[in-house]
Amino acid sequence: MKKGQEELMFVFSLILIALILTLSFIIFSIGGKNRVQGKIDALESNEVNINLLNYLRTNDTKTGMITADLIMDSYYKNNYDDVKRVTQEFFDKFHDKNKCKTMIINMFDLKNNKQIFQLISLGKGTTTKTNFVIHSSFILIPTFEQNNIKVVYSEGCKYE
Amino acid sequence: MNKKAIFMPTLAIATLFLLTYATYVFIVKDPGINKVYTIGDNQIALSNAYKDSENDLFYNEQAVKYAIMHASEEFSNNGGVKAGCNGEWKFDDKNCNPNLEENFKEILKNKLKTYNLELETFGISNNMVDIKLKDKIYYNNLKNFEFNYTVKQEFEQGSIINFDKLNQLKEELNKCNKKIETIKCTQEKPTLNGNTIFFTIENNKNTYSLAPAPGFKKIEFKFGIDKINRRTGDNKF
Repeated sequence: MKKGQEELMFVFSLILIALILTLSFIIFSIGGKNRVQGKIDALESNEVNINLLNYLRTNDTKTGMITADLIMDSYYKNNYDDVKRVTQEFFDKFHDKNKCKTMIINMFDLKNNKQIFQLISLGKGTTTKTNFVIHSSFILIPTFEQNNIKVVYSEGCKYE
Repeated sequence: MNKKAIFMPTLAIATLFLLTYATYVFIVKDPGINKVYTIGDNQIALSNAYKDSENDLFYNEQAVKYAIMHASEEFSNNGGVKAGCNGEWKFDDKNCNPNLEENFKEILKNKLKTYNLELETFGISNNMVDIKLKDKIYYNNLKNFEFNYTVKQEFEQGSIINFDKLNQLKEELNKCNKKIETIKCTQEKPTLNGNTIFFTIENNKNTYSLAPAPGFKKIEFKFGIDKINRRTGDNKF
């Protein structure tokens, strides 16, 4: 083999190795990322659940009731004005509009699976393609007649 | 061929072979490996058990609160004795004896059952109701990891019924001498209706009720004792 050919082959081999290593890095990075994704999701879902419990335990100074009791009372009176006010106060206090594009509270009457309440708070930059992750949590609360209301809380936030 | 010349192409081919094989083994051959061996499975199971227990505790706390409200209303409507006694206290009668704590416990037990909760222990002290439900166990058995998370279901709620005041009144009436008028045995002011003396005990605490309209209301505890029987001495009164 001539010296010129040897050098050419050396350069090509070097390029090939660099290419293979780069490709492998990409493939294993993507493959590896999927493996730890579940762990991160679960922990963040737990944080969402704590937020939901805090929302339900919040004491409303106007009515003197905690939110869960207020929901039960509104359910029988079929008037959710106070729940809407308390939920809006919760959003105003805790919704970081730069970090979270959305916060949603939904309520369902499990007797007939009917939605009874929904309030959405939107953040800034909702049209950008930023990678927001939606996490949800739900909790059952009893009514006065042993029926259950399902309260679902979702937030779409950027996570570090 | 020159040894120096074939070293780099051989290294490149070997690297290509090894990494292709590694990709085949870890990514292509067993794609399910991500699901089965997800890092943190045990931690997730444990943290989910904690989450579930917190949610269940909140549900039970609310259910206990509502069951106490239901029970307090029924207990007050019955005058602290069983439903068939028409709110009349009879100390010598087995059925209509004002065994207040025990009668309240029976009503509460039934109310809790409607929420699928089982009452284990019950107590009233300083107008606080202490309730213990059956412990709840959260269990999981994963590969090389097993846990039993036992959560105690103990709740303390302020009593809507003023048991301290009622017990004091009960003691005063029970000790009341036959020859003395019932009215003089206690500082509570009764009302007379026919042969029955009625006592009404009010409490400032509100309870939720669906009748006549949904909302919070004050409940009155009203009971009566037989005036004639007491005077003739047929029973303690």
